[in-house]
Amino acid sequence: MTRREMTEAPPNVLVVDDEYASLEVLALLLTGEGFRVLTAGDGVEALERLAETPIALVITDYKMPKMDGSELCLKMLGDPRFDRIPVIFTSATYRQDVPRPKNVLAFFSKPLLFQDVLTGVHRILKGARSP
Amino acid sequence: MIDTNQPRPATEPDDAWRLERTKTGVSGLDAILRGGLVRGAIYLVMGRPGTGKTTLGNQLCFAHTKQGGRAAYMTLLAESHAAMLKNLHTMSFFDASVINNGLSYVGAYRALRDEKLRGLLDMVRRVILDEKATLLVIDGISPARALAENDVALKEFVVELQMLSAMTNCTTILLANMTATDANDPEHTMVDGLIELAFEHFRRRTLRTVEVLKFRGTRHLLGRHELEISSAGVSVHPRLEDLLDGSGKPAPASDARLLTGIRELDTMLRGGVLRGTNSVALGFSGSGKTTLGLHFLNTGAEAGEPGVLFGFYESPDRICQSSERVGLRLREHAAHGKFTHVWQPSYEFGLDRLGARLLGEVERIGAKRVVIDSLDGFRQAAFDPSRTIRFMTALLGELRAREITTIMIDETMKPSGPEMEMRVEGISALVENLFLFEYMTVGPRMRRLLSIVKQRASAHETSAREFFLTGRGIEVAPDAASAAEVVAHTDDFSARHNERPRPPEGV
Repeated sequence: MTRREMTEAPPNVLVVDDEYASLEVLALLLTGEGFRVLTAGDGVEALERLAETPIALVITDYKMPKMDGSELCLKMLGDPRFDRIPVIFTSATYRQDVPRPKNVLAFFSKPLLFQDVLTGVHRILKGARSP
Repeated sequence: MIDTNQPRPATEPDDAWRLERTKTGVSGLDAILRGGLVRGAIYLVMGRPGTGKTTLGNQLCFAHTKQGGRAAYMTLLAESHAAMLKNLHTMSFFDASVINNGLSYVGAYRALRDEKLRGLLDMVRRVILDEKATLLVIDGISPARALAENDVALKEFVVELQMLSAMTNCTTILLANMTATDANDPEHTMVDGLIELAFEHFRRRTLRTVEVLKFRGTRHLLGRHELEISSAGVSVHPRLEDLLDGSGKPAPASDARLLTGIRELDTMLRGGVLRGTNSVALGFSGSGKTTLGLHFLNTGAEAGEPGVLFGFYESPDRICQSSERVGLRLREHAAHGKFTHVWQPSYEFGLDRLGARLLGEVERIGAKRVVIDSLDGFRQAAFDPSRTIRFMTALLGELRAREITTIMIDETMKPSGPEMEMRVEGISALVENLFLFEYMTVGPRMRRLLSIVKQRASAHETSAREFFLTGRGIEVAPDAASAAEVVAHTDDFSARHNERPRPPEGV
């Protein structure tokens, strides 16, 4: 996706993280790349955002209070409004060998490297599964 | 990115947690940091005006571009870029060709003033991404503090800046005009590392220092280290005893002997000094100690063992002249890389700079022999005299670990015993071999005696011998007979009831 395409129709990306700086800075960086970014501090808030605004992609932390990333994914899969929205998992502690919900198309370890995340976002939004 | 369909074993090390290092390119600093800055981390470099923050910040940028990275130097309320570059252009690290071609200078004060910390953070984001910067220096962080809405806002800014650095893998350095005693604010607790540049005053001398107060993820070298600013920019001289702490493997004890070049002295030593040991030649001014050192180095050079004379007093040309007068060919050996004279006035350098120079030269020529002329040069160079013995312990340990045989010259205040003391307190315990040079007055004549007070792990001759300074250098009498005659008739000794000199303190 080119910058121009994004300028014309910026995709809405929902970033979910209970860690303040991770949330703010990832949102800042994605905004700078032309995305429209919404934020939520946990799974419960994320479901509220999803209900309010059409979302193209969710980037969520795994470990969060109230509702963690895994539970958020399962809730999304159980709701026909959200079950086709792709998800990217991020975590500093998540065991990578644990099976993930099927809407999780990519996983990035924290500390995140933005260029890797951005590449993943573009790939997923293009409709290609990550390699 | 991890493919969710290809789970990895949980035990596989995670690349995200591996600390990637960025070499600073500043001599000595990477040694203190044990390998350099951590890539993507954020550091605060603080110090009063004149301590070298701006020079260091710029040097880091130029060095980073030289290593293939891209750097940005961002100023808030600081001197203009033109004025700064004008001041820096004489430094050898300065390279005009990289400016706007790998190194960008950016003014960010307007963004801060107009949009506060949020505007500054967005400016940082744009600079890092647009310039593809892997190193960012922000000079003058104080205005950010002044323009922050409150302490919480400042803390949020620092945390976000830290996260931004990590996510973009861009190492960030904040330069701040403050000292460690002021460092109790949010920005100090949040950063990954705190480095303080300071002045240290000792009598009328002033020394620049650098101290790493905090460095996450690394067991850095503690303490204050000497920092030098020259035309080459900033260089750091780590405290030798910290730098070498436990790093040198002790060399295996050797039975091999090295000839001193003075035949009868070698006989007294039962074949020369043991390889890898250190010796002190102790005596009054003019007694022949330096000449012994020249013999030792000349003999080594002729045997294919390169040597270093580390001197504080006589110039290289004067040393070569002196050696030629006694038939030694040090000038020729120097031309063939078998001898080198490192000469420096002791008051110009601190201990660690001296140590680095000596070990650097030893490394450069592959030295097997070293003569230090004299120990007092180190003593005078020490800002804290009580540190000299710790420094010398480390230095001698390193030379021993490299199997280098060392002679140190030490001057006494008296021409002869019994009360001849070494001037570096505590050094005698480190000394393995001790040669005593004495003047005796017999009637109108000054006569010289040479004794071996100790030779560790080896027998040696216990009698003193008379020696002579001739056109062939030092010549030692073939036996102790003339020395006995000198002792029997010397005015000094008769006044002391023919008392033989006692070994110096601690021996």
